Amino acid sequence: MNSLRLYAQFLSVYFKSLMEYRFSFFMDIFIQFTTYGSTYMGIWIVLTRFESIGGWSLYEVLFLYTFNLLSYGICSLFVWSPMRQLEWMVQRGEFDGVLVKPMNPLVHLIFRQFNQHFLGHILLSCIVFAICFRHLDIVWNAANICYFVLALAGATAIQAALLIISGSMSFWFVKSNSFTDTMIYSFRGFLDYPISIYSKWIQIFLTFVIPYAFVNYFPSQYFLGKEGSDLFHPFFRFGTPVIGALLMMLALFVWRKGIDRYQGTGS
Amino acid sequence: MRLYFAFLANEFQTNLAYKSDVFLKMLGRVMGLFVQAALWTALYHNTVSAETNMGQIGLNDMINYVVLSTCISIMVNNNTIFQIGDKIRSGDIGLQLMKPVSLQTAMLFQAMGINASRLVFELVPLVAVAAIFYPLELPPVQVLPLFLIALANGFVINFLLAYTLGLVGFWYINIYHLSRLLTDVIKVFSGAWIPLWFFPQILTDLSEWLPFRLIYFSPITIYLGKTDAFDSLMIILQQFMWIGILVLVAKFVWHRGISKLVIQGG
Repeated sequence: MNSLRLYAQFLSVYFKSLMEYRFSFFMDIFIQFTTYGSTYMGIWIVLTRFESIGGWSLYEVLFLYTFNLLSYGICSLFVWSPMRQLEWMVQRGEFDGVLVKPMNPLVHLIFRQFNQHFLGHILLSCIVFAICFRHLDIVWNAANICYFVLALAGATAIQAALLIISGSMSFWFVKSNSFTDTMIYSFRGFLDYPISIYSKWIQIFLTFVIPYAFVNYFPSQYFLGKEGSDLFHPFFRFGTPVIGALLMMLALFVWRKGIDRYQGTGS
Repeated sequence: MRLYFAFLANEFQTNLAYKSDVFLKMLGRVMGLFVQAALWTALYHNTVSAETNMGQIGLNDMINYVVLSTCISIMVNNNTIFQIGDKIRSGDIGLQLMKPVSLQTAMLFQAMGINASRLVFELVPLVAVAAIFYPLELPPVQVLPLFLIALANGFVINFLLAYTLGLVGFWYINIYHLSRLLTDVIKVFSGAWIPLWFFPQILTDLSEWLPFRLIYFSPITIYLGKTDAFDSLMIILQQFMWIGILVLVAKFVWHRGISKLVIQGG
């Protein structure tokens, strides 16, 4: 409770500083609409021309893509900036300052580095979800609503955990941001379309090694009632919350190991 | 001229310092290639070829298209927009004004330097790796000169767009937004991702009036032999026309920007 009140304080200071540049603040959000809006437009263009991809129709692919975008947006509000700046903080020895604060270092970093850009991701995904729901026959009974929330939480946890793990690499390697770029952006590129269109090995990799498939593919399969390949047990559709929790635990473990290793660069 | 080649060589060498990233970047590009190839393979699942206004386009054409588009992205991308934004923000632009060199030409040569080093350290490995999975078909020899000219012109057009938008930094300090906007517009309207022949009519018409398709789509269609000699020459003519227009726009923006520039202290 106490820490929530503290977070409210951090946020209010952060937003006050943002409001000094109000136009820039709104542009930060608007620019996400052009980036992801143009991606949506591309999906719309190919699927109007070709009708379906691997048996998934336009609105189904939009649903799939949006599940990824929304969970990424939610987790990044909090963990994107801290993890991105960690490389720089470790190099400069600034991380020392975080360690001497009377607070959990991870919580402290998250508290002080909100990232307003991702409000754009969230806003846009809500709009696209609203459009998808009108065109798709998803039964919204209590169980499905519950699972939707749980799956979204799980997906958010997976995305956050992967960001934390790749960010923690700063404690071992001097330049970790290019590692993050590959891990986050290149592998995430596979999630733009149903993973069933890729070769068997890529599907297995995305399920068991970097479990990105749980972010959007398996939950979407459930909600849209899609037949999967024989490769994965139907039970995988319910795996997202479990994988999210497990991966988050792993991420916190890696983070703690990283801090143990951190010695400061001296300055 | 030799002066400007010094900018080129300098930037080439600077870029060499970041060799460690090259492997990761290449991994990223190869994965992007996998995604695109899988996308088109899946889209072509039910059909052998698609009827378009540029003739029949088969899956094979699309695989070649994807490889070519990835190669072009390595060759044309630059960080000109950030370089110039930084110069304006930091006031370095004042120093530039004192030097007897044209900023535009110097930056063009710097961009060429970066891309020359990418050609060696990123493009060649990528083509080699891509050849294992998606061997690129070579075009008839007589097409190559036209393709190379179109490619070089596309590079210049891309540079001029980035340069001009970078100059907007005189008025709008958050250059990151402008860069994102340019990337997004190019992503769709250049055909880097989806070839223009699959666009709905209204978007095809719109992109005819824009310069972006001349960076990716038009050179690729020349390579793939989808345009005859006359059309290829027309494309190159249009490119020169756009280069002319963009040079004039850049000059105009530059003069307006410089006349409003005030540099504090020093």
